[in-house]
Amino acid sequence: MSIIADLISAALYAMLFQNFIFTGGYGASEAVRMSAKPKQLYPMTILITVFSTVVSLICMLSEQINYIHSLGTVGHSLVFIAVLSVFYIIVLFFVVSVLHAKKRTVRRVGIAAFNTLVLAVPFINYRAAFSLAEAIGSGLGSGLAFALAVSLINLGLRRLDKCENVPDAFKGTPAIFIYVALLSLAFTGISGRGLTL
Amino acid sequence: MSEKNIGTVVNSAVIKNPVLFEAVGIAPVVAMATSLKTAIMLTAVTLVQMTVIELFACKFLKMLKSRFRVLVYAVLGVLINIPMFSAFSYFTPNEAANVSIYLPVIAVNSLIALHCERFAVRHGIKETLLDALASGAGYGLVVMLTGIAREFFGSGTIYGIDLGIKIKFSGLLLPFGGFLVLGFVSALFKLIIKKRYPDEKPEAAFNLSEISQSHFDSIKNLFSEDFNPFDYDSEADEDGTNPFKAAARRSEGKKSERKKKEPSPSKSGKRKKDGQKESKYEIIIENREDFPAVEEQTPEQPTSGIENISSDSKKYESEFDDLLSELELHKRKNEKDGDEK
Repeated sequence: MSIIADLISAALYAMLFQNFIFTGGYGASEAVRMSAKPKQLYPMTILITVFSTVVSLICMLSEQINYIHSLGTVGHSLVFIAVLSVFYIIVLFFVVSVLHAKKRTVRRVGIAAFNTLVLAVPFINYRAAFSLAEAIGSGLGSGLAFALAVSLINLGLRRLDKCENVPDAFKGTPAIFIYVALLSLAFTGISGRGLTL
Repeated sequence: MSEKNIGTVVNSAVIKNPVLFEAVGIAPVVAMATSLKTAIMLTAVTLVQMTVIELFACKFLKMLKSRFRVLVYAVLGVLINIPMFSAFSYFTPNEAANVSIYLPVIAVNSLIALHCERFAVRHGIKETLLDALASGAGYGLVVMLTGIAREFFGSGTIYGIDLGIKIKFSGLLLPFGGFLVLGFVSALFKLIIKKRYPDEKPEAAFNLSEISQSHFDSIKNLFSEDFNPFDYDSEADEDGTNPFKAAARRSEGKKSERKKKEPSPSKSGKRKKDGQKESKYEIIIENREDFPAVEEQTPEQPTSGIENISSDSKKYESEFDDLLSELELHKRKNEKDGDEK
């Protein structure tokens, strides 16, 4: 029971209480760019969730090996990128040969795999000394955090798009950044983090 | 430096600044650029990474498929970061410790993959080097400005030197402060570009044309027939070398042969209730609805660029209408003649 509770609490933590995109900035580029093309949100979310969860799980299991556990940040970054690369090749093979995916979808697999959000999750697990259940939860949560972030940014952008009062200099990306900053501030508040470091 | 090269530099560094107008590589800026020292570290890493990886991609990765190139960029990024991270740890241990989690993560900076795919694999060494340096410099400029602003307002220091400012907005050191500063820097750049290069449209670098669409539509599409993200039949196999696509083409060919043998009602061959097939022009009229409507345009409007195309379309549309009405008249005449006989 406690395993399930750990998993859910870690997922909620990654998604809501400390949304990795808003409070850490991880995967912010992908989220902002995806929010401009929201129709592909769900396939992208599925891919990111799969990558972050599986990579997080394998990296956590690899921590059981004493040699890997004793490595520093540099060594861990090599292990994590190696795990991500191998899993990417497996997913790529599955998507191309089994699912016969479109070229566009195959390209999306690359974007979903190699981004700061997916690579940050195993680092966060490592630094926070998460358990296996928590590692899976943070992987799932980061995928859901991405979907939540894109949905929220898209909702704001649609309103900004219709708003005529935005000054010329702020139209486009400046307004997007400021809107994302406000969302980020809100999530910082939810996480209970004070504004003084 | 020739005018063309200067144009490339200005375009890559300022007008199409990767962070400000394309929203690429935001994560390191937001998370890492909290002071001038960390900004310098990030700029150095990005410049080296961009130059090395772009040149490598230009020289050796052109023959490799895009899906494998992204993997090479990430691995190369980590391999370049490791010695740089070690050097920073030696010279500035405190700052390096603060950003230790971000340095490995920026190996997968989307800026590098984007520029390699968009530029390096399509151009020569010289142009690629220029693009890498220009976009790296543009990125560095934004990182520096963001770092200085956040350190000044957030910590009251510049390069660690206390300026004696009593009121500090330490919230700016959090990621939300990074987004906020980026917004204002982006607006500042846009103002400058509008003044100096009035013909340029920096906002065009980031395609916002689909924003008005709802992401909830994709849920609806999941249950409709046309949503099929893994169906590649409609997409052309550019090089014709993909064995999976070739197999799919073969199976498709068999299917179409079968279809030819046993005719089935299709969109273009609908049969009327009385058993008569629809006439050709009725099908043409029906199919015309599939095409996007030609823009309504008054003659007073300027006719340049896209507008020229739409006026041409209008001309062709009216000619097409005339042709259709002639065909309709001809058909009625034939029908009358047939009845009389």
